[in-house]
Amino acid sequence: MRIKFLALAIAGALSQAAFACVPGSYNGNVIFGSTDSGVPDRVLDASCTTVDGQIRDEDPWGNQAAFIAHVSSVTLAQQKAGKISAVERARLLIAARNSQIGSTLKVKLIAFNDFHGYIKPFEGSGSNPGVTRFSTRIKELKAQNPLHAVVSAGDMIGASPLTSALFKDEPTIEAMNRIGIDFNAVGNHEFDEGKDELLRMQHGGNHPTDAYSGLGMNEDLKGGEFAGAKFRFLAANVHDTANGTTVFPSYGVKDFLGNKVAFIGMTLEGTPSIVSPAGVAGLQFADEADTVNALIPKLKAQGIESIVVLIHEGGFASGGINGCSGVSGPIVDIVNRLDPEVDLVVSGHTHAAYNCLINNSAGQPVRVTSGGQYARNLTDIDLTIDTRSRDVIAVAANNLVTGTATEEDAALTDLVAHYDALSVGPKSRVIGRITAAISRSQNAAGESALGDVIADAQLDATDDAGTGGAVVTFMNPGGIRADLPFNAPNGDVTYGDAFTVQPFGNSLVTMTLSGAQIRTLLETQFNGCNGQTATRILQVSQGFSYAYTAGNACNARVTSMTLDGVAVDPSASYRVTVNSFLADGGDGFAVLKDGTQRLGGAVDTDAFEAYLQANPTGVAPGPQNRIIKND
Amino acid sequence: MNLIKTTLAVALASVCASTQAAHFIFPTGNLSLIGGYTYAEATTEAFGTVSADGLVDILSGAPTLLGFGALSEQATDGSALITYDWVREVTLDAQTDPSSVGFSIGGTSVIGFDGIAGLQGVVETSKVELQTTLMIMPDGETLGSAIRARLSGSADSIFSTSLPGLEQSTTFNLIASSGGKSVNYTGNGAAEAFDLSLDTVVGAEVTLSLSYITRPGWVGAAIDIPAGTVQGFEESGLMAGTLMLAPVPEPETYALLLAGLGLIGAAARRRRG
Repeated sequence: MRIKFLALAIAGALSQAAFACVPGSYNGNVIFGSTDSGVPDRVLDASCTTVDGQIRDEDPWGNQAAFIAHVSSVTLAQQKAGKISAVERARLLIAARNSQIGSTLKVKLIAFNDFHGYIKPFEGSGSNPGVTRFSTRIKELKAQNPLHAVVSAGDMIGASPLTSALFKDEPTIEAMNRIGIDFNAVGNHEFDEGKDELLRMQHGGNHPTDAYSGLGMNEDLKGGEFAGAKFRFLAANVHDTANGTTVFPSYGVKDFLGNKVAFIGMTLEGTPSIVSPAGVAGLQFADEADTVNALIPKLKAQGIESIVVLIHEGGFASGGINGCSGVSGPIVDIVNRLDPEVDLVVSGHTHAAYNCLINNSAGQPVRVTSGGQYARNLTDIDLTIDTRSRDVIAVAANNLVTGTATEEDAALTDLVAHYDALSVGPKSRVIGRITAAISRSQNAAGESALGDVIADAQLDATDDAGTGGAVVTFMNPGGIRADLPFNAPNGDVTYGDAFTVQPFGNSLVTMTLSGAQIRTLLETQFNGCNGQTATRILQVSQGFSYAYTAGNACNARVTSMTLDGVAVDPSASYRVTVNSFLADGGDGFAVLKDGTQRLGGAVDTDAFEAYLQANPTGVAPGPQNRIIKND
Repeated sequence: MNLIKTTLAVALASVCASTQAAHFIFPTGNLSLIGGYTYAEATTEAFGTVSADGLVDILSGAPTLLGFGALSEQATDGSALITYDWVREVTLDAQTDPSSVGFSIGGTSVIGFDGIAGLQGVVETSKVELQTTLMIMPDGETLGSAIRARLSGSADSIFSTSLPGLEQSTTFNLIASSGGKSVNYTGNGAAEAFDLSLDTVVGAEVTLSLSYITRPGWVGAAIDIPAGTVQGFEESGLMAGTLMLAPVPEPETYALLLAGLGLIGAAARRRRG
């Protein structure tokens, strides 16, 4: 023993002036996390390995026992090889324990919502970074922590730009498969084409009738057909009416070195009011908070304490993408009712980006995030899990901008290019005819020829008793993104043209409003009135007409309203169609949230195509005579 | 020869397929016991009897067991110095991978005397132990079907002393039992590997006991240890291993494997001939 101590002392004395990689030399002590063991971090051999270098204290450890067992094993071997003394082994073990390494574990969640098939950069919007840049950012975040999960809070597909929509959103599923995501809670738009189609998104196989299915690159297909999602769709509150079972699993569990995190996924209870009846046929949608709270005991019975809710319902807040000023919306009430066992809520649906703390049912603040829309943002979330209780003890979240200048991920560019090339033909598919170019330019009253035509198309799609029985439609001017060009010589309208005009894929919603509510709706068009932040003149359908005096006071500007020449009765009920964006109170038209007897309808472009086909000789520009601005 | 290769491959695949089967959980209400202590004492003409003792703290989480104890004591009188460092750890990790439960039990003790006149004796008695019960849960297997619990690992120790007459006394014990059967390993830390198989059934409980006991001691004629030198003893020990589950191999599998090996052997002999 005397000899061994002496040898170590000499090595230590040499070390101060020695070059690196001289066995026995050292530059500091072995440090675990921030705990200094007091043991010199000696170089062990010519390969520069040191005492600390053999101890994997930087790795994630699922529990403290695992790390201590590792240190015990490595240090015994080091002592046996004469590299450390027995006392040093004791000190290393004590430092391993004091470092608390393994007692907590950091797990990174990468969250997004309302992706809506925005795979192709700049399609639909100059601020669309595309899935290629989105993937680059996700890879960067994944690289920061090998323990991670990528999760989506719904509307990953549906209401997509053409490059995804044309191919039944299979391109988006394939892109997400390549990125490697874990769970997608269903949103309302996942139901746009009904349960069977959504199940096909999960399980694969080609669409039974649509020729634009199964056209992916070989590496993305399975047996020559669409492979389905490699991640799990979750829908805790969507039940099959026939048998009461959930259509998709209520939750998914991901295991991080033995620390399980459950992800409960769901859409908004109100999904049937904003999706076409065909899309939700045979399905029931349950209350969000009740559904989560009922699952908590089941999860805890499995020893799961870390619980994340992925919910396609949201709110609004100001203060930037990480702000939470004046948070409002349905998510507030839902979180207020959540069991305190829920550790994090990833929300969506409103397309807003926020980073909030909202109180749960015990009055404790819970982190609630939403990452905006269309691949533009990602939420970078770090969960700190106590590995003894296996519960989340800290949540840090930050919304990031994907960035349109971010480098594109080469692992996805071929997929996007493939579908882009395939879509060239279909984009030129003729869906109808117009007699002249139809402009979205508004006249002095705020009415556009294209606004008239779109409103008429929406009325045509929803005026039958079975499709809503609508008598008037209102279209937001911001939802008309381009003019409809006249393609010489005969005015053919292509699918690509129609898509460019209405790229959002909103579906139609028919609701009942009183005449008084219609008046409130129209008064809300003017900046500063009823919370409106800009002047937005809604486009109206044939048969409805109104006049306004811009100079009048708020709620006194509309001077007349008629339907088919008869004055609108404030106390009478009218069936009104708007798109799903307006129906949710979009563009500040809050009164539309109060509409009753809601019925979902077709996607707007489908309604437009049907209208063109119902007028084979060609649709003429609208008359722009329905809205009258008084002098 | 292709047939032989195929036969062998099938047999090997059947055996190798054994690595993924069932997993362990701690049954509800399970009481795992972890304990540990040390008591060390030295007698010198100058100090009389000096002693130190310590216990193992329990730091377990739900699917893991962790006991850890440490002491770092000194007694001085002028230039005389007695030091005692003691660490014990015992771990069982059914969390990171419930189908391959890792365990370890070990520690380090160091007693040093520097500038002691009339050292008459020293003794350390230290024990750390763990007892637990794990239940075998199916991963597709039917409850009650045969399954094999395998315990493999090694027990090793390092001991040195400069005190005449002081000898190592180290014992590692491992006992696993299930359904009335049990297997055990006992070693003295002489770098031994163990590989035990306990045949049981899916749904059964396996109880596991681990212990690490050290009792080095010496009493004799007083000796003088000059100042500036250190004499004493040190021991480090570790028994570590894994508890895994594997299907109980069917007799046909062994037969197939032997047949394959036999055919290869025969072919090899023919080539040599």
